[in-house]
Amino acid sequence: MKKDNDFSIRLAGLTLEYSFLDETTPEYFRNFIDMEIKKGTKYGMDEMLKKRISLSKEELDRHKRRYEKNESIHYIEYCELQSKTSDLLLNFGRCIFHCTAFCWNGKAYAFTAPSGTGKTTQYVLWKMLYGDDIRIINGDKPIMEVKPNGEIWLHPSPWNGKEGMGRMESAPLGGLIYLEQSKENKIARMTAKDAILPLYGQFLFSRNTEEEIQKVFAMLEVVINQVPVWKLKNCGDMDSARMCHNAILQAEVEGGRV
Amino acid sequence: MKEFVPREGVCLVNVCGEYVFVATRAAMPFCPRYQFTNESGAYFWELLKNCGDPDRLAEQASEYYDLPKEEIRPGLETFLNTLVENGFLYVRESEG
Repeated sequence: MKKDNDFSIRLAGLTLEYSFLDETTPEYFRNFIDMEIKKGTKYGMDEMLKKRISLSKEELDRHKRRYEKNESIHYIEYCELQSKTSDLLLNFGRCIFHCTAFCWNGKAYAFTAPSGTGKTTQYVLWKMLYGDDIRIINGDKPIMEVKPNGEIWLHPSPWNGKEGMGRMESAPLGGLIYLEQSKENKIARMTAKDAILPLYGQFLFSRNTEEEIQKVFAMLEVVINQVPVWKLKNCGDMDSARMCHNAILQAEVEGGRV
Repeated sequence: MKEFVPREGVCLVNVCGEYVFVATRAAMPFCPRYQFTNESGAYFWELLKNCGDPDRLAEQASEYYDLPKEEIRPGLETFLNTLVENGFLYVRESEG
Protein backbone atom coordinates (compact mmCIF):
# COMPACT_ATOMS: atom_id res chain seq x y z
CA MET A 1 0.00 0.00 0.00
CA LYS A 2 1.23 3.48 -0.86
CA LYS A 3 2.32 5.50 2.19
CA ASP A 4 2.60 9.27 2.60
CA ASN A 5 6.33 9.24 2.00
CA ASP A 6 6.14 7.01 -1.08
CA PHE A 7 6.60 8.81 -4.37
CA SER A 8 6.87 7.95 -8.04
CA ILE A 9 9.76 9.90 -9.50
CA ARG A 10 10.29 10.34 -13.23
CA LEU A 11 13.98 10.19 -14.17
CA ALA A 12 15.47 9.91 -17.66
CA GLY A 13 12.22 8.60 -19.09
CA LEU A 14 11.64 6.01 -16.37
CA THR A 15 9.33 6.07 -13.39
CA LEU A 16 11.09 4.96 -10.21
CA GLU A 17 9.41 4.24 -6.90
CA TYR A 18 10.86 5.83 -3.76
CA SER A 19 10.10 5.50 -0.07
CA PHE A 20 11.59 8.37 1.89
CA LEU A 21 12.51 8.21 5.57
CA ASP A 22 12.27 11.94 6.17
CA GLU A 23 9.17 13.86 5.14
CA THR A 24 11.29 16.78 3.82
CA THR A 25 13.41 14.67 1.45
CA PRO A 26 10.80 14.61 -1.38
CA GLU A 27 11.33 18.38 -1.68
CA TYR A 28 14.65 17.73 -3.41
CA PHE A 29 12.76 15.66 -5.99
CA ARG A 30 9.82 18.04 -6.49
CA ASN A 31 10.49 18.74 -10.18
CA PHE A 32 10.61 15.03 -10.88
CA ILE A 33 7.52 13.76 -9.06
CA ASP A 34 5.36 11.88 -11.50
CA MET A 35 1.96 13.51 -11.13
CA GLU A 36 0.27 11.08 -13.52
CA ILE A 37 1.20 8.20 -11.24
CA LYS A 38 0.09 10.23 -8.22
CA LYS A 39 -3.30 10.60 -9.85
CA GLY A 40 -3.44 6.85 -10.21
CA THR A 41 -2.61 6.36 -13.90
CA LYS A 42 -1.53 2.81 -14.60
CA TYR A 43 1.80 2.39 -16.37
CA GLY A 44 3.09 -0.90 -17.72
CA MET A 45 6.03 -1.27 -15.38
CA ASP A 46 9.10 -3.46 -15.61
CA GLU A 47 9.33 -5.71 -12.54
CA MET A 48 12.62 -4.12 -11.57
CA LEU A 49 11.05 -0.66 -11.60
CA LYS A 50 8.50 -1.75 -9.02
CA LYS A 51 11.30 -2.18 -6.52
CA ARG A 52 11.22 0.75 -4.12
CA ILE A 53 14.38 2.80 -3.72
CA SER A 54 14.87 3.64 -0.08
CA LEU A 55 17.43 4.04 2.64
CA SER A 56 16.97 2.04 5.82
CA LYS A 57 17.40 3.67 9.22
CA GLU A 58 20.50 1.51 9.73
CA GLU A 59 22.02 2.64 6.43
CA LEU A 60 21.31 6.25 7.29
CA ASP A 61 23.00 5.90 10.69
CA ARG A 62 26.02 4.30 9.05
CA HIS A 63 26.33 7.04 6.40
CA LYS A 64 25.83 9.84 8.93
CA ARG A 65 29.40 9.42 10.13
CA ARG A 66 30.69 10.74 6.80
CA TYR A 67 28.78 14.02 7.13
CA GLU A 68 29.08 17.10 9.33
CA LYS A 69 27.62 16.51 12.79
CA ASN A 70 24.73 18.93 12.32
CA GLU A 71 23.86 17.81 8.78
CA SER A 72 20.12 17.28 8.33
CA ILE A 73 18.66 13.81 7.92
CA HIS A 74 16.87 14.82 4.73
CA TYR A 75 20.07 16.08 3.12
CA ILE A 76 21.93 12.86 3.98
CA GLU A 77 19.04 10.77 2.69
CA TYR A 78 18.89 12.82 -0.53
CA CYS A 79 22.65 12.38 -1.13
CA GLU A 80 22.73 8.69 -0.32
CA LEU A 81 19.79 7.86 -2.56
CA GLN A 82 21.85 8.97 -5.54
CA SER A 83 24.01 5.84 -5.59
CA LYS A 84 21.02 3.54 -5.08
CA THR A 85 19.24 5.29 -7.92
CA SER A 86 22.20 4.94 -10.23
CA ASP A 87 22.55 1.22 -9.46
CA LEU A 88 18.93 0.66 -10.42
CA LEU A 89 19.24 2.82 -13.55
CA LEU A 90 22.16 0.68 -14.74
CA ASN A 91 19.66 -2.08 -15.50
CA PHE A 92 18.12 0.25 -18.07
CA GLY A 93 21.21 1.57 -19.86
CA ARG A 94 21.41 4.67 -17.67
CA CYS A 95 23.82 5.89 -15.03
CA ILE A 96 24.46 9.08 -13.11
CA PHE A 97 27.52 10.81 -14.54
CA HIS A 98 29.59 13.36 -12.66
CA CYS A 99 29.76 16.44 -14.85
CA THR A 100 28.35 19.86 -15.59
CA ALA A 101 26.06 19.31 -18.57
CA PHE A 102 24.64 22.00 -20.82
CA CYS A 103 22.82 22.32 -24.09
CA TRP A 104 24.48 24.08 -27.02
CA ASN A 105 23.34 24.02 -30.66
CA GLY A 106 20.80 21.31 -29.85
CA LYS A 107 23.37 18.97 -28.34
CA ALA A 108 24.46 18.23 -24.80
CA TYR A 109 28.06 18.88 -23.86
CA ALA A 110 29.60 18.15 -20.50
CA PHE A 111 32.60 19.29 -18.52
CA THR A 112 33.76 16.38 -16.45
CA ALA A 113 36.57 15.97 -13.93
CA PRO A 114 37.07 15.07 -10.28
CA SER A 115 35.48 17.48 -7.79
CA GLY A 116 37.25 20.80 -7.38
CA THR A 117 38.84 20.86 -10.84
CA GLY A 118 36.68 23.68 -12.20
CA LYS A 119 33.65 22.24 -13.98
CA THR A 120 31.34 24.94 -12.70
CA THR A 121 33.95 27.64 -13.33
CA GLN A 122 34.28 26.56 -16.96
CA TYR A 123 30.50 26.54 -17.39
CA VAL A 124 30.17 30.01 -15.87
CA LEU A 125 32.89 31.31 -18.22
CA TRP A 126 30.97 29.88 -21.19
CA LYS A 127 27.77 31.44 -19.89
CA MET A 128 29.46 34.84 -19.60
CA LEU A 129 30.84 34.56 -23.12
CA TYR A 130 27.99 32.86 -24.96
CA GLY A 131 24.94 33.81 -22.91
CA ASP A 132 21.68 32.34 -24.19
CA ASP A 133 23.48 30.14 -26.71
CA ILE A 134 23.98 27.69 -23.87
CA ARG A 135 21.54 26.38 -21.27
CA ILE A 136 22.35 24.31 -18.22
CA ILE A 137 20.99 20.77 -18.02
CA ASN A 138 22.50 19.80 -14.69
CA GLY A 139 25.38 21.32 -12.75
CA ASP A 140 26.75 18.18 -11.12
CA LYS A 141 25.15 14.81 -11.70
CA PRO A 142 22.95 14.40 -14.78
CA ILE A 143 21.82 10.98 -15.94
CA MET A 144 23.53 9.53 -18.98
CA GLU A 145 21.47 7.18 -21.14
CA VAL A 146 22.83 4.90 -23.84
CA LYS A 147 19.90 3.84 -25.98
CA PRO A 148 19.81 0.44 -27.71
CA ASN A 149 20.34 2.21 -31.07
CA GLY A 150 23.58 3.74 -29.76
CA GLU A 151 22.24 7.26 -29.19
CA ILE A 152 23.54 8.85 -26.02
CA TRP A 153 21.48 11.35 -24.06
CA LEU A 154 22.05 13.48 -20.99
CA HIS A 155 19.02 14.01 -18.76
CA PRO A 156 18.40 16.22 -15.74
CA SER A 157 18.45 14.75 -12.24
CA PRO A 158 17.61 16.00 -8.74
CA TRP A 159 21.32 15.93 -7.82
CA ASN A 160 22.46 19.24 -9.24
CA GLY A 161 25.31 20.25 -6.92
CA LYS A 162 25.86 22.91 -4.32
CA GLU A 163 25.02 25.68 -6.77
CA GLY A 164 21.67 24.05 -7.56
CA MET A 165 22.08 24.53 -11.30
CA GLY A 166 19.63 22.51 -13.33
CA ARG A 167 16.78 22.67 -15.80
CA MET A 168 14.26 20.13 -17.05
CA GLU A 169 15.82 19.63 -20.45
CA SER A 170 17.42 16.57 -22.04
CA ALA A 171 19.61 16.49 -25.14
CA PRO A 172 21.64 14.05 -27.23
CA LEU A 173 25.29 14.06 -26.26
CA GLY A 174 27.58 16.05 -28.58
CA GLY A 175 30.85 15.67 -26.71
CA LEU A 176 32.65 15.45 -23.39
CA ILE A 177 35.35 17.78 -22.15
CA TYR A 178 37.64 16.34 -19.50
CA LEU A 179 39.17 19.14 -17.46
CA GLU A 180 42.61 19.34 -15.97
CA GLN A 181 44.05 22.32 -14.11
CA SER A 182 47.16 23.78 -15.67
CA LYS A 183 49.10 27.03 -15.87
CA GLU A 184 48.63 27.04 -19.63
CA ASN A 185 45.57 26.45 -21.76
CA LYS A 186 45.61 23.59 -24.23
CA ILE A 187 42.92 21.47 -25.82
CA ALA A 188 43.25 18.16 -27.68
CA ARG A 189 41.12 15.14 -28.54
CA MET A 190 41.70 12.19 -26.21
CA THR A 191 42.44 8.77 -27.64
CA ALA A 192 40.12 5.95 -26.61
CA LYS A 193 42.79 4.48 -24.35
CA ASP A 194 43.50 7.83 -22.68
CA ALA A 195 39.80 8.46 -22.10
CA ILE A 196 38.83 5.10 -20.57
CA LEU A 197 40.00 5.49 -16.97
CA PRO A 198 39.30 9.21 -16.45
CA LEU A 199 35.74 8.77 -17.75
CA TYR A 200 35.09 5.53 -15.86
CA GLY A 201 35.90 7.40 -12.65
CA GLN A 202 33.09 9.85 -13.34
CA PHE A 203 30.30 7.25 -13.52
CA LEU A 204 28.63 7.36 -10.12
CA PHE A 205 27.39 4.00 -8.88
CA SER A 206 28.10 1.76 -5.93
CA ARG A 207 30.73 -0.45 -7.63
CA ASN A 208 29.44 -3.31 -5.51
CA THR A 209 29.31 -5.98 -8.19
CA GLU A 210 31.18 -7.07 -11.28
CA GLU A 211 27.90 -7.02 -13.18
CA GLU A 212 27.46 -3.29 -12.50
CA ILE A 213 31.05 -2.60 -13.51
CA GLN A 214 30.63 -4.50 -16.79
CA LYS A 215 27.45 -2.53 -17.53
CA VAL A 216 29.23 0.78 -16.99
CA PHE A 217 32.12 -0.21 -19.24
CA ALA A 218 29.64 -1.28 -21.93
CA MET A 219 28.11 2.22 -21.74
CA LEU A 220 31.55 3.81 -21.73
CA GLU A 221 32.59 1.94 -24.87
CA VAL A 222 29.59 3.34 -26.75
CA VAL A 223 30.33 6.84 -25.47
CA ILE A 224 33.98 6.74 -26.54
CA ASN A 225 33.06 5.33 -29.95
CA GLN A 226 30.21 7.75 -30.60
CA VAL A 227 31.27 11.18 -29.36
CA PRO A 228 34.48 13.18 -29.24
CA VAL A 229 36.21 13.41 -25.88
CA TRP A 230 38.43 16.42 -25.37
CA LYS A 231 40.99 17.16 -22.72
CA LEU A 232 41.09 20.82 -21.76
CA LYS A 233 44.12 21.74 -19.71
CA ASN A 234 43.27 25.16 -18.40
CA CYS A 235 43.89 27.88 -15.88
CA GLY A 236 40.19 28.76 -15.56
CA ASP A 237 40.28 32.01 -17.51
CA MET A 238 38.16 33.40 -20.36
CA ASP A 239 40.76 32.37 -22.94
CA SER A 240 40.40 28.73 -21.95
CA ALA A 241 36.63 28.88 -22.47
CA ARG A 242 37.07 30.56 -25.88
CA MET A 243 39.70 28.01 -26.87
CA CYS A 244 37.43 25.13 -25.90
CA HIS A 245 34.36 26.61 -27.60
CA ASN A 246 36.26 27.30 -30.83
CA ALA A 247 37.92 23.88 -30.95
CA ILE A 248 34.59 22.10 -30.60
CA LEU A 249 32.91 24.41 -33.09
CA GLN A 250 35.66 23.89 -35.62
CA ALA A 251 35.47 20.11 -35.24
CA GLU A 252 31.68 20.25 -35.64
CA VAL A 253 32.00 22.36 -38.80
CA GLU A 254 34.64 20.03 -40.22
CA GLY A 255 32.45 17.07 -39.34
CA GLY A 256 29.52 18.69 -41.12
CA ARG A 257 27.34 18.89 -38.03
CA VAL A 258 26.90 22.67 -38.00
CA MET B 1 53.30 -25.22 -3.01
CA LYS B 2 52.82 -21.57 -3.92
CA GLU B 3 49.49 -20.73 -5.56
CA PHE B 4 48.43 -17.40 -7.07
CA VAL B 5 44.81 -16.57 -6.43
CA PRO B 6 42.75 -13.77 -8.03
CA ARG B 7 41.44 -11.37 -5.39
CA GLU B 8 37.71 -11.73 -4.90
CA GLY B 9 35.94 -8.69 -6.32
CA VAL B 10 38.51 -7.95 -9.02
CA CYS B 11 37.23 -8.25 -12.55
CA LEU B 12 38.74 -8.01 -15.98
CA VAL B 13 37.05 -5.71 -18.45
CA ASN B 14 37.57 -5.45 -22.20
CA VAL B 15 36.74 -1.95 -23.41
CA CYS B 16 37.62 -0.34 -26.75
CA GLY B 17 40.07 -3.17 -27.36
CA GLU B 18 41.88 -2.53 -24.08
CA TYR B 19 41.96 -4.78 -21.01
CA VAL B 20 41.52 -3.31 -17.55
CA PHE B 21 41.56 -4.88 -14.10
CA VAL B 22 38.83 -3.20 -12.09
CA ALA B 23 38.16 -3.49 -8.37
CA THR B 24 34.68 -3.71 -6.90
CA ARG B 25 34.10 -1.87 -3.64
CA ALA B 26 34.95 -4.99 -1.63
CA ALA B 27 38.37 -5.30 -3.27
CA MET B 28 39.27 -1.59 -3.11
CA PRO B 29 41.05 -1.75 0.27
CA PHE B 30 43.50 -4.28 -1.21
CA CYS B 31 44.31 -3.01 -4.69
CA PRO B 32 44.07 -0.01 -7.05
CA ARG B 33 40.64 0.80 -8.44
CA TYR B 34 41.78 -0.05 -11.96
CA GLN B 35 44.83 -0.83 -14.00
CA PHE B 36 45.48 -1.58 -17.65
CA THR B 37 46.84 -4.92 -18.71
CA ASN B 38 47.60 -6.39 -22.13
CA GLU B 39 46.25 -9.35 -24.07
CA SER B 40 48.68 -11.78 -22.42
CA GLY B 41 47.68 -10.43 -19.02
CA ALA B 42 44.04 -11.04 -19.89
CA TYR B 43 44.87 -14.56 -21.08
CA PHE B 44 46.70 -15.41 -17.86
CA TRP B 45 43.93 -13.89 -15.73
CA GLU B 46 41.44 -16.27 -17.29
CA LEU B 47 43.78 -19.22 -16.59
CA LEU B 48 44.30 -18.04 -13.01
CA LYS B 49 40.61 -18.47 -12.29
CA ASN B 50 41.11 -22.23 -12.54
CA CYS B 51 44.76 -22.76 -11.75
CA GLY B 52 47.20 -20.83 -9.56
CA ASP B 53 50.25 -23.02 -10.04
CA PRO B 54 52.89 -21.06 -12.01
CA ASP B 55 54.35 -24.26 -13.45
CA ARG B 56 51.01 -25.38 -14.81
CA LEU B 57 50.29 -21.87 -16.08
CA ALA B 58 53.60 -21.83 -17.96
CA GLU B 59 52.77 -25.23 -19.45
CA GLN B 60 49.39 -24.12 -20.70
CA ALA B 61 50.79 -20.88 -22.09
CA SER B 62 53.59 -22.80 -23.76
CA GLU B 63 51.01 -24.79 -25.70
CA TYR B 64 48.88 -21.75 -26.44
CA TYR B 65 51.70 -19.52 -27.67
CA ASP B 66 53.73 -22.39 -29.11
CA LEU B 67 56.83 -21.31 -27.21
CA PRO B 68 59.16 -23.22 -24.89
CA LYS B 69 58.07 -23.14 -21.25
CA GLU B 70 61.45 -21.64 -20.28
CA GLU B 71 60.73 -18.63 -22.45
CA ILE B 72 57.31 -18.11 -20.90
CA ARG B 73 58.34 -18.47 -17.26
CA PRO B 74 60.34 -15.22 -16.61
CA GLY B 75 57.64 -12.94 -18.04
CA LEU B 76 54.93 -14.88 -16.29
CA GLU B 77 56.69 -14.58 -12.93
CA THR B 78 57.13 -10.85 -13.35
CA PHE B 79 53.45 -10.53 -14.24
CA LEU B 80 52.32 -12.62 -11.24
CA ASN B 81 54.58 -10.81 -8.80
CA THR B 82 53.44 -7.40 -10.04
CA LEU B 83 49.82 -8.38 -9.56
CA VAL B 84 50.60 -9.65 -6.06
CA GLU B 85 52.36 -6.36 -5.24
CA ASN B 86 49.32 -4.45 -6.51
CA GLY B 87 46.92 -6.70 -4.65
CA PHE B 88 44.96 -8.02 -7.63
CA LEU B 89 46.34 -11.47 -6.75
CA TYR B 90 47.39 -12.99 -3.47
CA VAL B 91 49.59 -15.94 -2.68
CA ARG B 92 48.30 -19.04 -0.96
CA GLU B 93 50.62 -21.73 0.33
CA SER B 94 49.09 -25.12 -0.25
CA GLU B 95 50.24 -28.68 0.38
CA GLY B 96 51.50 -30.77 -2.51
